[in-house]
Order: sequence, then C-alpha cells, then structure tokens
Amino acid sequence: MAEIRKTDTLYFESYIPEAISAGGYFSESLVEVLSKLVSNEAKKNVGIGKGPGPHPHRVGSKHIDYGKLRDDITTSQGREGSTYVGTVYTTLLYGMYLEMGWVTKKQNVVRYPWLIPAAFVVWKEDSEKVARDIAKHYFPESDLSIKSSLTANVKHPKRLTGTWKLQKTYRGYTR
Amino acid sequence: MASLTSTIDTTQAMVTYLYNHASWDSTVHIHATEIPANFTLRKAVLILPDGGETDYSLPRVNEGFSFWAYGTTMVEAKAVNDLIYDCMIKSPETSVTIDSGTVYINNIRRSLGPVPLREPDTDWPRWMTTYFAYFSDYAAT
Repeated sequence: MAEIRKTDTLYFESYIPEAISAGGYFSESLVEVLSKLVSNEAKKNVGIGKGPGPHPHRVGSKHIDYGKLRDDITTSQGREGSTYVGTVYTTLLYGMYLEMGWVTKKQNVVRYPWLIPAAFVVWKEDSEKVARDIAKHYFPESDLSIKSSLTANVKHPKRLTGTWKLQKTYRGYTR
Repeated sequence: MASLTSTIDTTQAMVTYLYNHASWDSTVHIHATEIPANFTLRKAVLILPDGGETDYSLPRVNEGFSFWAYGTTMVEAKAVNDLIYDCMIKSPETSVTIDSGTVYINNIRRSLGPVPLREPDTDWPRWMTTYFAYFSDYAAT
C-alpha cells in the first residue's frame, strides 16, 4: 500500500555562544517536550467523536470511530546538522487528507486540519514557559539576557513549517 | 499608520492577482472557496484561504492560501501548479484593484508543497501548494 508520511518540523536556532556550548542538550530537551505537547494537542483534535462528516457521530452513520488516527500519532526527535528537529507524524493516508482537505462526491470541500493548528497552539500557549523552564535547568548560572534571548527566540520561531514527505511511490509519483 | 485603513478581501485580491498576472493562462479557471456546481474536471485552480495573523503595529495582514491545482491528468495538474508558482514567486511585489480599492501584495512565499494527490472520492489529480503573502491597503514607502 502506498504510504505518505506527514512530518511537521519544529526548529530552534541560537547564535549565542553560551547557548551553543550547552545548547545541544537544551535544544534536544526542548524539541522533545514540544513535540510531545504538539502530539497531545493533535490527539485531542482527532479524538473519538471529533472530525468532519461523514463521521460516526453523525446520526445514521454506519461508521465506527476507533480512534485509529489518534492512536497512530507518533513523535520522534533527531538532528539535522546543527539543527534539532522534533517530528510529529502519522503514516495513515487519511490523516493527510483530513489535514489538507479533499473534494467529496457532492463536490463539497472538506478540511479538518488537526496537526498544524496543534503546533500553533503549543507555540502560542506553552513554548515560552517550556523554554524558560528548560533554560533554568541547563543554564542555571546564566545571566538574564541569555534566558530572555532563548525564550524570545522560541517565542518567535523563525521557522515553523509543515512538510509532507512521500516515503514511497504514490500512484506513480515520487518526490 | 498603525493599522489597516479598511477591511481587505484578501481572497478577492488573490484571485485578481492571478487573473492580472502576465503569465497567467486564461484557459485555466480560477475558483475560490468552493468548487462550482457541476464542475467537470479541467485545468483549474481552487484557492482556499487558510487564515493568518494581523500585525497591529503595521498596516498589513499576513495570510496563507492553499492552491489546489487540477487537470485532466497529473501532468496537466502539475502544469497548473507550476503556472501558479511562476505567478506567485516571479513577481513578488504588486498591487491589484478590487471592490474596496487598491490592495498591495508583497513578500509572497511558499510554505508547504507542492504535494501531488488524488482526490479520494473523485480520483481527480491534484497538486497542492500553500503560500503566505502580506496584504495591505497602504503602500510602503
């Protein structure tokens, strides 16, 4: 079966010398915590009984919501050069269609983005506090300018991107 | 000037932007927000607004749009997608005139895609790309 892997990448970058020396551990912890928070938020969005129609919660529907997408949402952390990357993804094809939308047989456009909004919620509501807490652990002796720079950098991420990586051939097209 | 002087219909501005572009192929239909009734598969693009942020300190909005490019074949849909890319990236600063007046569009950048897909219900070939752009009714000087 063709498989499409959805990957969202959270980047943290720092140009502060003191941060660079211990920044690896800081960044590693940061993306790990943030990607798990994004995962939890995304799981809420696709919990049982949530989503667009045709859907099990609609009256008369023959479908049963087993929470398959919710249970398939996975996180991973890695490093690309000097960048630490946290990934939240699903390998379920319909997860991608929910996120990006499709046209139904009745030619209605249906979209239910569940992952990118989750990432934005975490960035807006949790990222600054998380970064501050982790910075306290890794930079206990640092001055306030480092901590504020770190949190400012996280508060205004230079890149919060969504990418779709086709892992295998999909109907004759590969990327 | 701290904020927009009027409400901008960014979707209308984006449709007008494509129609006005010198590179645009007039045989490609442009639809916004929804597919028209009794749509038959042809070279077309569906523009869907993704929302965005308003910068209260500047007279502009930063808004995203998804462009769903269709064609009778995957190759044709890709050609439509490439045409959109040319129009979006190769003339990043411009202005268009819509019902509310002049809208300035700049700093258009691709944020996602292109992604080749098949519509799961209709099997239509589709390429999708998402762009962000700044919209303003106030010309920067």
